[in-house]
Amino acid sequence: MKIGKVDVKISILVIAVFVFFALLVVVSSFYSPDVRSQLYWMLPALVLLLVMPMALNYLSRKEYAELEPVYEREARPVRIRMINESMIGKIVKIEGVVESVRFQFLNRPQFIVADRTGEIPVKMFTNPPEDIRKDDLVEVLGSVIRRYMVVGDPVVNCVSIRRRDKDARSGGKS
Amino acid sequence: MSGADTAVRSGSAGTILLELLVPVLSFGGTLAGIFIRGLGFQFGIQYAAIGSVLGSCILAYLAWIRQKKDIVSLTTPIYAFIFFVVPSDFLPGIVLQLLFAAGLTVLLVRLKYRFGASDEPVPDATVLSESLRTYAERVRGLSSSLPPGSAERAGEVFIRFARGDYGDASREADLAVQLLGPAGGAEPLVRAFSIVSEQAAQMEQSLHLPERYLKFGPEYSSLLANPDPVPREEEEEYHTTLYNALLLLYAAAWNRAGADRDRLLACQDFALKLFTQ
Repeated sequence: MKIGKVDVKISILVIAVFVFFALLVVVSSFYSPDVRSQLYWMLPALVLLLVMPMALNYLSRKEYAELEPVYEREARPVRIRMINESMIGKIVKIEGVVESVRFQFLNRPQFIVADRTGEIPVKMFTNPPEDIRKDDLVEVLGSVIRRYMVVGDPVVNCVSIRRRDKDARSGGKS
Repeated sequence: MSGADTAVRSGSAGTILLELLVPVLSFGGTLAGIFIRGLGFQFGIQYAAIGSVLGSCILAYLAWIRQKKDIVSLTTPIYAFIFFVVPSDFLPGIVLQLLFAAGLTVLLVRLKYRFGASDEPVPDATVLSESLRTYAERVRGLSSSLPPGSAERAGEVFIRFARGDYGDASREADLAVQLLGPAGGAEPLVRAFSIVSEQAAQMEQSLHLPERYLKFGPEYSSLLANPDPVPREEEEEYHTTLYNALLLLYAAAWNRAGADRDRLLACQDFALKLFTQ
């Protein structure tokens, strides 16, 4: 669903929660007049179960879309093995193959991206515009952060992850 | 990290005992509570959760001592407090405790298989690791013949490169080459500076593999951290040449540095990544 230029997606978990509570409200209102008398706030609350995650997703996607050109300008291409604790806070661009994808269903995908020098976790706090799968060749823009914000090994906090053509890979990628 | 920095993965006896205690205390506390209630002693069943609380604390400790931290296991004591601080009825309390105990057991298995052996040493940021220390000792003779200031420059180049300031590292390395000049005994270091300067300048522009690049000659192989007994792919050889140059600079800086050792220790994790064997 598009709102303006932003493609908004809600996760399957949100939909499952909405369906669960919608069924609960429907079934209980069928059997209980007390519940029927409370529908005036239950129905809007049900709607909010969908609207709020959509709104949050819109806001985060919009913010990431605004950050992308800034990161594109400032990002330094680096090989994955070169990323270390001394680079915390630096904006980087990495290219590699997606080794694994987790938590896409929560709209908080975590990728492991590997190039010929090593691999690194790439965390994103919203879902990317493209559907990124295992074995995709991708270009990642992000900043180097600690895994748990203040402690942990360096990971990439991703602002943009895009698929690259496999043909581009033979163009002298290191 | 080299194999020398990783302890044997069998786990110490104390750690194995602690790992066994997690399910034993968690399930045992609840079963003991059921048994005591069965004997006729009446007490709040939430007190039987003391075993689960202790089990969660032990699990959190086991997660803490690992090099790779598991935040889920680390936070189980918080959940134990939230779940069991409130009095509950007998049956719901028992079910909750048994489910929590099962959860702790699953987390323990996950911790063992996804987060490494408990006896892998947690890197101490105040001490040079064994592989770097061994390498620095191996090239100590090189540092004794260097002109004053060159070891400090080597450290500066390494630190700037580690920070991702490739342009600065390249310029600093160029300056070092000019200052060292034809200094006797410093040829390996001059070559290391030249390699870092060339590759850092290349990385500042792009990550493409150049057609020609500087390498260490075979006469320097005894000084290299990653000696090259078998032919490598061109790209791998290019990267390994850089890693060897950076490690040589690190070792030279370490062997001569005084006050700068804190800064070198701060970059130790990067230096350890440069070992390929």
